[in-house]
Amino acid sequence: MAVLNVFKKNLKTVSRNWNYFVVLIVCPIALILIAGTLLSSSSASNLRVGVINEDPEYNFDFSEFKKIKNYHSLSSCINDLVEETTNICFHIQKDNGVRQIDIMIDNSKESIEVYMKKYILEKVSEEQAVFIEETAKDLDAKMTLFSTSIDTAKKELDQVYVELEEQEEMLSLYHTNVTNTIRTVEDIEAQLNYLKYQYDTAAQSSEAILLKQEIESIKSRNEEILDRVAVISSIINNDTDSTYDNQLNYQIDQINNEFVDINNDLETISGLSVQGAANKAEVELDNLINQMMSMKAALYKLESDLVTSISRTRAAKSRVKTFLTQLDEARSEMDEMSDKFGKGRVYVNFKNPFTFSTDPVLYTYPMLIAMIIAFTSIVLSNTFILRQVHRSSHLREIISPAKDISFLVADYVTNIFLASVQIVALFLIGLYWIKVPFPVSSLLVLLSIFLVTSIFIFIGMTLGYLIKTQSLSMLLSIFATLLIIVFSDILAPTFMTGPIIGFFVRLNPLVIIQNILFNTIVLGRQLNFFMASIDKLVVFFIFGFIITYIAKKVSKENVVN
Amino acid sequence: MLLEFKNVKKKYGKNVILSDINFNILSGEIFGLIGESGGGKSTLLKIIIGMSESSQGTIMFEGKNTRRKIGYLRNNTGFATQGNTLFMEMSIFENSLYFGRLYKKKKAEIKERFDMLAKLLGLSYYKNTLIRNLSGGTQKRANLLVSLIHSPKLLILDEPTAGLDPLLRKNIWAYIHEINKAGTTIIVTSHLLDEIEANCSRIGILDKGKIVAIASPKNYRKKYGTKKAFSEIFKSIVIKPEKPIVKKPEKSKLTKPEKSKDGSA
Repeated sequence: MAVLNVFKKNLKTVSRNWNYFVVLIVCPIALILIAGTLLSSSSASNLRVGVINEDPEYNFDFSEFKKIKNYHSLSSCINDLVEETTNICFHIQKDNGVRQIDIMIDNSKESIEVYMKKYILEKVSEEQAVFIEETAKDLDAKMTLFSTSIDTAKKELDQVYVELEEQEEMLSLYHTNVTNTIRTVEDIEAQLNYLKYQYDTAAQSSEAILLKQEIESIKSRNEEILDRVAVISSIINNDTDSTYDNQLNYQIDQINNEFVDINNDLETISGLSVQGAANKAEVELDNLINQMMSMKAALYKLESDLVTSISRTRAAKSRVKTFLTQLDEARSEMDEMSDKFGKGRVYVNFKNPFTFSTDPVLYTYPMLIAMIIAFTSIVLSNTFILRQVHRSSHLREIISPAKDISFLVADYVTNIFLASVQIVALFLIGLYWIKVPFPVSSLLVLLSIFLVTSIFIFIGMTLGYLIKTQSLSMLLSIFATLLIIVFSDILAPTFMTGPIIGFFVRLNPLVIIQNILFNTIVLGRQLNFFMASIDKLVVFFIFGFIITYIAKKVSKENVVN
Repeated sequence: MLLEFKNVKKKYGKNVILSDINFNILSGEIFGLIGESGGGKSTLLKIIIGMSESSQGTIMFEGKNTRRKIGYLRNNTGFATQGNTLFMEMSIFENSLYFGRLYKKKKAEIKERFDMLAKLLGLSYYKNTLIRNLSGGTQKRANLLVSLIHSPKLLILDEPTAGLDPLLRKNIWAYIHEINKAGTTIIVTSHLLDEIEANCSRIGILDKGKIVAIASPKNYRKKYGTKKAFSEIFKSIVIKPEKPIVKKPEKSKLTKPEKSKDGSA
């Protein structure tokens, strides 16, 4: 009852004091509206960009910026940078075919520097990523083509190698047969020579009979040679593709014809009378021997050609083998390169894992709310308590039998009520201006706001109770607010601070409430108990209440003394 | 006997502010408490109204020992300072309602008491007027009214007429007597010793933390003569402290103020 009584009195005194009402209600709302207007007009596209483009073939996309000025020289752009009529200078040039972009950012303003570096990096990375992707695709396609060509060539060469082997085998067979034929021809030649010798020296009748026998033997040997030549011919004739085989065929045909002629001459010799035949036979023998010799020469040549062919075939085989080995190596290297290229490809993509509006007002809205809650709660509660404590009526309240805690709770409730009015105003402005939904759906959010506001109120109240001098108390409350703002992640992100500092920063109620509001309003997440750090806030709330109660007691003692 | 101090001492650290305070307040009287600045008056008043506790001794209120029972003293005493201790943004009635509820009085009770006191003090017309819109004299009366809203048995008035013109002072004293007549025992402190002499049934002199004299104005005159101004009597007592004149308390009765020549109170 006493709490309610004091609360009603507090509301009356506040509401009937127009100056106080303006400070408590109107000023924070005005602050919010001005901040909102400022933020909504603030955009990186308002940055002034200076361009010195010495490479007309290249177009960097400046469409995001509203104010672009082209310069003829870098020095003139930098002059404007100094005078702050330009914020960034882009110098695009080409040197030995290589395109270079030098960017001079006004680095005395960190926000511009950070934003522009991020923007440019994203833009350039996008372009480079597209270029690399296209080039990679081309290379990939070409390497596939090359691989296929190599495979096809290897197949063909394998086939050629097989054919060369077959050809070598065949030529070797030729050679063997030709060699054997030469032996036989040499035998025949020897026999013919012997026959001539015998013919010259031997008796007619018996020698004629011997001659006939010899002729028959030669004919028989001739037949053998013919058979062998026929075999060689049939082997050659099976391989119809080789032009070299055509020459061999020709040679064999010639040899064949010679042997046929020899056979015919032997028949003629055999059919002739002994006398007349003897003379003719001698002549024919001489012709025969000459023919044998020319045939032998031809066979020798053939043999020599065959040896050369075999040698060349072997050389060709060796070259094909070497080439096949090189093709294998090339294929292997290409596969390796393709594999490496595939694994070593680097894609840089800036992806946003969270989807939310990029409206700067919405983005900074949680921080704005947190700062206004902190400022108004601390300063206004301090002002309220100072007014209470320095009133003459405070003495009458002290000497009343009402307990100190009743006054404390009532003053706290009054401050919470006044802060709530401002918070509701904040969220209404957000709802109708920025179209931000009021986070009523989450009890945890409301509880968090309540606890954080209470903690700040306790800070303000404590300073109001403890510091006797009004002006000093007010200054300290403003200082406390600034300290809370500075010792948050507004200046430096929490995740980039050291572990000890980061630990204390994360305990800052301003940081807690800002994170909560950002997660719920901007990112649209649902909170759980620990994500909202409710446990910490409750501890701070209790601690804050106790400290404020002690401060109230101290204040009363000061008044009494 | 309403209030009795027995061997009361008050220290702040090593500083002894009050020592061997022995006196009593009779029910229904107007007791004047005077003394030089720094003599311990304020400390004594704080103890009486329950703002501060004594270091030693006994304080009996209506026969009950109030040591460590400050709440009891607070509930039964009212206090009106020299300055206005009301909320300027509220009316007399709203102030009365607020402070009355702090003394756990119900609204109906407060209203009834307010009507009676407002009539007594001539404030009925100003019931709903904001304090900040009242004149100085009216604010003083409003201050008095609120001090009495919870029906205290003992009212302490600290310099009630300070800074007021003579006419207003007379009016204030008239109201004080009215309140006294209505049943409230009053302790008054003032530097206007002639007023104290004229209006109080007994006067206690506090000097250097000790009660050096308590007597009725009549007895003071008997001892020191009628030709001197009371301030001179006071000075002579304080500067040359003599054996304290402590007469046996008379039976409780209201003392009528001495009428001045023109018949006003």
